[in-house]
Amino acid sequence: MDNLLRVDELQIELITTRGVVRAVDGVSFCINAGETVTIIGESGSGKSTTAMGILGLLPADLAVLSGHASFKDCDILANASALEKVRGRHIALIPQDPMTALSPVHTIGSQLRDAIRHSGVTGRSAQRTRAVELLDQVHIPRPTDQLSKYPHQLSGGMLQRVLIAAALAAGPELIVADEPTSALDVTVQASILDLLLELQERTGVAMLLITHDLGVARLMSDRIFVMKEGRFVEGGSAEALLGNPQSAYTKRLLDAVPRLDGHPGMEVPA
Amino acid sequence: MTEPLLRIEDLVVEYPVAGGMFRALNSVSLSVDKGTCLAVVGESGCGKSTLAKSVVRLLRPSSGRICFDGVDIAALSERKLRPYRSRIQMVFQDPYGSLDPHLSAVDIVAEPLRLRGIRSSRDRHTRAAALIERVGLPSTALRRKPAEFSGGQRQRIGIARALASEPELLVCDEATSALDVSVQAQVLDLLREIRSDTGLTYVFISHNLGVVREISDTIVVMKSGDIVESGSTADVLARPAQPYTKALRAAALDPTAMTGIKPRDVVSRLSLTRNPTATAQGAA
Amino acid sequence: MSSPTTHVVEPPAKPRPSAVTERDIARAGATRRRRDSRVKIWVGTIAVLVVIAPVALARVLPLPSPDATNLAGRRLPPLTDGHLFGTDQLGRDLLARVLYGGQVSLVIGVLAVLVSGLIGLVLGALAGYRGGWIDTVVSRLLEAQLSLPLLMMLLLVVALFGPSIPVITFVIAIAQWPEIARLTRSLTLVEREKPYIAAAHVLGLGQTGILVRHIVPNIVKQVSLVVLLLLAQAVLLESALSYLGAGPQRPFATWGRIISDGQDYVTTSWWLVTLPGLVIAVLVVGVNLLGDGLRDRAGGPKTGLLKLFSLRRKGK
Repeated sequence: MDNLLRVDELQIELITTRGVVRAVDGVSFCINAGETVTIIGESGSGKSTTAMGILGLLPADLAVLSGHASFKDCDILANASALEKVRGRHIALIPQDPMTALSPVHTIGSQLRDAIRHSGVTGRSAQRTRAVELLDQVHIPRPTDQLSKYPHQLSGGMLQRVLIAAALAAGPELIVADEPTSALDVTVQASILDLLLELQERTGVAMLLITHDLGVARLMSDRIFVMKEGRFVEGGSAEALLGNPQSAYTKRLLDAVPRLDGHPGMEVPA
Repeated sequence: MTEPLLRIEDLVVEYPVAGGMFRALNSVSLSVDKGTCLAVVGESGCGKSTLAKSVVRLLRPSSGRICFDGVDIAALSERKLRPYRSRIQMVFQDPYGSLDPHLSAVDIVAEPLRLRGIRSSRDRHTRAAALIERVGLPSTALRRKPAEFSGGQRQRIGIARALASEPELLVCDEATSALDVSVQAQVLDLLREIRSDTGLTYVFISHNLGVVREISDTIVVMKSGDIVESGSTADVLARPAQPYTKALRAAALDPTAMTGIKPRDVVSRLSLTRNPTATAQGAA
Repeated sequence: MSSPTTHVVEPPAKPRPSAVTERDIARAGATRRRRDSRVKIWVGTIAVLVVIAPVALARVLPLPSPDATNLAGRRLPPLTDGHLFGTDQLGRDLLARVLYGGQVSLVIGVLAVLVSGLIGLVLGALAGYRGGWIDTVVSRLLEAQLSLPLLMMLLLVVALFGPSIPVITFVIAIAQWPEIARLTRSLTLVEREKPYIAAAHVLGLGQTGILVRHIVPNIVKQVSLVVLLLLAQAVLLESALSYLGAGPQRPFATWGRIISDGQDYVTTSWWLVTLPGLVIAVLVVGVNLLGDGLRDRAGGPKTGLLKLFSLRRKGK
């Protein structure tokens, strides 16, 4: 099988003060090498929970996971040590809010070095060289100067590039991007998306993209799944799903997107 | 020619920061005719929020004039400003923070009625209930507290509260930005409906060009405290003249306008940047 | 080239079974927190009631008078001759003394926290909301008072104005208002930045109106919890003052004085010091546990005041 990631009937239940909530109710999909699969949904649909669950980032005293998830035929859902080996090296994460994803009291350089060290590079100077190389790949100007800066000295877009650089440190085969541009301005978003597309062309890395923005999904994905209340509602190629959706929910989502070209929006049923 | 309802002239807002003064608004001028909707777009830090806060006098501008119905309200004292407050209202961005958590929906909407001098609490209650119904919420919603509503419902309550003052000008400060896309569409429909029913004038702050296209007549594009382009919304978005406006337009991804572009196609992406309206015209 | 169609995912015929086991629920963070706060509230309430109920009902209980001396039965150990706590050096029943003395101690404590709560809330809210010179004055006053050695200061005031009950109550209230004011000020500073306050401003509400109608109602719950916790401190302060002789004078024998009266006999008649001390300790620990538990609860979804006391597990 050349499935990189295979998810089968994944179910995530959260134990909260109000009882057991089924955030993800039986989700199945697979990602092949080099392709981009996007999960789109509105807030509360469970899309971020799915990604965090697969990566084992949900607190153990909150979430109960069941079903199957395997990376290159290796079970990562039930097998914690397999997940440890894979996470950070073969699967990387680009988190949602760049402003809060980095420690404010450590420099960019030291945080990048953490990621590089985890990927197996030893020796301070080798790590430093690699850090500069990575910052260069994400088109950060004057990379050597940026290493000694603190997160609050950089803009949101630059911070997101640093996070992408950290994700690339080990040369992963799959990148999970959880709403990577939602917290950014629209022009900055465009440049980050361009960067991601360029990196994919160059390295052939696969991507699991989580977003609520249909435009971003249409631009970035090979295949898209629409998620609602913990379940997939529809799935297909990007062009087919957003060009000719079958399910009522996808159609409703698409109709609700405001049009830039002035065609009057269709009446949204109450 | 009738006087525009709102006319801003050479508005400057600056405040001291380490090492000098920071200009959030750099001598900005614009006007809004009665019954129309002006959109103010830009990215973070462009000054659009500062502009919104100046119009509703949540802050006091450093210099310049804000002429509302012919009267300059920019430098009025709080006391002199009081009678104008009910005529200019605001809908806020954050549905979770813009409603007092310990009040019920009907109390939230009734508060401006009390300020307008309606003494009888039963009277206030009836009017507030009518407004809540007007914005599409059921009568069971009256006694509930904000925590029991969804984001879109809270924005409706915020709109009802703003309408309770019977304003002439409504400033919407990113009123739909925090909402899911389907909820956003419903709230926009509501705002459009209210406008056509009451002839309210809107100033609509947003970073989302699609939303702005659907709701506004005229537009100003802001960057770093200046207005870089202005005009009718349809014109500016279809034929942007300034490079910044073009960049904004290119960055806006409309999934329905991308037929013919292959997914992940970097080359087409770059050509979009050079000619943002190409796909709109070339859509099959 | 025909475009491929999408596939629609149908919901499953019957709902999938849950994978959550009893053990998962027992280990879950939410369960643990609720259980912990429930334990604290129960234990705290019982401890507080064990002290307060007898004190409140002292006149109704079959006790000898606290002032009745009995020189024949001096310094009897606990549980002799019907004296649950024994007798003191003048033959007076210790339990009666502790309970009647507790009435005075508690009244002083409750009055003191109410006064300090009011002063602290008003000054803290004003300082936080208005800022400017009000904030400067209140903050400096607050800091100055917090930096003075508390007991020294209180003794000084009592020495100047005499150890009567109103003075003692007032003095303890003065000791405690800074902490409440500081908390209120911080909470006000946070509330002030929220959009609903800006909305009230735009509606035309004045500063006092915003403070009274919007800010205070939203912070009063958290402030009340701290006031409750300070009740324990007030009782301790009163005991310290009366132990040092600066408390209410005869005939009011509050807990501190009972302890100081008995301290000469601490090696021979241990109960004269230990039992009143134990009563104070149980009350203080109880109040602290109760306050802690309520504070943990207050972070949850149900924040109505009555609902803080809903101790039974509500099945959903």
